[in-house]
Amino acid sequence: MNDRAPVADWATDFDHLDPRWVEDPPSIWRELRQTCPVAHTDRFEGVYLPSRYEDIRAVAYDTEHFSSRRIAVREGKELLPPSPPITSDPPAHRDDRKILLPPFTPRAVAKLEPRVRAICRELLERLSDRSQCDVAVEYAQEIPTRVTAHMLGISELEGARFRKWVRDLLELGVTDPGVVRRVVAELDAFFAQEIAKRRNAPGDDLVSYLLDTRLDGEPLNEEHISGTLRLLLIAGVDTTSSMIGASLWHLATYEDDRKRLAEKPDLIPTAIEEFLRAYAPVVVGREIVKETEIGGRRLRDGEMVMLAFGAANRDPAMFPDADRVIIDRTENRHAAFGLGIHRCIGSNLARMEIRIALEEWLGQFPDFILSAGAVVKWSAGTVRGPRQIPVTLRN
Amino acid sequence: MSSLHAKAQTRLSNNTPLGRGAARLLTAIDELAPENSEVIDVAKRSKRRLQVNTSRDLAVPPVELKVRVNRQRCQGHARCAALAPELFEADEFGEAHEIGDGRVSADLHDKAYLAKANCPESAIDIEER
Repeated sequence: MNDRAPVADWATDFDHLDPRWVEDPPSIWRELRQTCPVAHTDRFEGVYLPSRYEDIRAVAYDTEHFSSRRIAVREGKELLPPSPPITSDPPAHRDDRKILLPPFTPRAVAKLEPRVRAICRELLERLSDRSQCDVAVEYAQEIPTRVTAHMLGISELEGARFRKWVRDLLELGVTDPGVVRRVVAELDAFFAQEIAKRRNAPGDDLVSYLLDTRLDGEPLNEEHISGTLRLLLIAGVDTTSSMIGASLWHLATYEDDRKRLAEKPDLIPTAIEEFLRAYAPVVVGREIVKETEIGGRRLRDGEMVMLAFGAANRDPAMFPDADRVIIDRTENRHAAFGLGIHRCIGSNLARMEIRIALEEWLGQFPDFILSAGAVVKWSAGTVRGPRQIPVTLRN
Repeated sequence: MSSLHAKAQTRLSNNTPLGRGAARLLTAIDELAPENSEVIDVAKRSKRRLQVNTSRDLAVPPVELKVRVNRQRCQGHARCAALAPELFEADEFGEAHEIGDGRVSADLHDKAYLAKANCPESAIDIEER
């Protein structure tokens, strides 16, 4: 990624792998909103980038001109095997999504709370006699991996393998289509085994749930099940880790906010919405399948649009004082989980995981701070979050 | 005198005898009007002038609120059910609807507006009566 040509002009040559985007994307979006609200790049065979809330929403709501069959901005035009419902378009999307909704409702997700809390406590237990730790690696990144494994009925110790797949796909895969093909093949082989195991011994897990599902009386075919399982594994791991990490990074950096939340845990859910707004980790893509106009610009079919939900969330036309993190902001219609029919299906789960992770962390370590001289690196690619957060624990 | 009003006067007085008469009338109204009153120019549409006195603090009777989730717009973010569980709930697919007939008791008015202000899809309608 380091050998990429530096960006000459963000309006005509943007690149989400550029060090400046990785370091401080809001500064780029702010500039573009003022100078060129729908930017373009010839990189990745042509991508447009709207930076205003209303334009991002318009694309997200428009399934006639924008298809989800390609959802990542990356090198290579080949279509991957589908991962319903994220890669589905109407009319098939409706059923593909409905299949997956019941296990992710607020009520269904609430049942997982005790397990999530136990995972957090187990991780904290290991840190109890430490004065320093890496809160990204030793805490934030562990939680969603274990929760995902738990939900899939897979050993929570598989975490390292999960994380490698996810990072290979979401980071290396952006520039190397070969990596994407390899990860998809490995995941399919992995899930083929899991599916075979569950056919013999079903359990209370999502693999068994998908095997039990009937659409018009018919079971889902294995390609559909495997595609959906790939999605569940990929989508829930790095995204939620990034948000737990970004939230804790914020609290390790801004002492007033940390003190306030530690003293007033009731404020955590409101603060989480603000962290989601300010540090929305995900960019997704849409393929332009019919020429159209967005924000006054013609968009050529065959190219991609990048939906940077973080850019929507920083638009001052939608959010007063958009670049300030205000942890008790009460009006917060952010788009961190997307908008329209592809709203993140795991949003209730993610919110619950982030909340428990912060409650438990602040319960044990109300006083922590970025370690002196610490360098926090953020990941580049489809999901942006802090990779390492060295902190000093002051209890 | 509002600038809008001043503009109207200039326009009127430069024209017909009728206009000059109307302008004189406006001046008279200005002299009679209390400090905080505002003249709203509706001349373009109706050719009639309306003056309202905005200095009075009218006692607002308590409004009745009714919430409703627009099911076409709702995508199941479930923010309303989280922020105002007394008023909204999520169904077995996580999609939200108002509880009962959506009537909001006076103590929950703030929560109704809070839910509306946090719906990413702007799917909550509040009827005020």
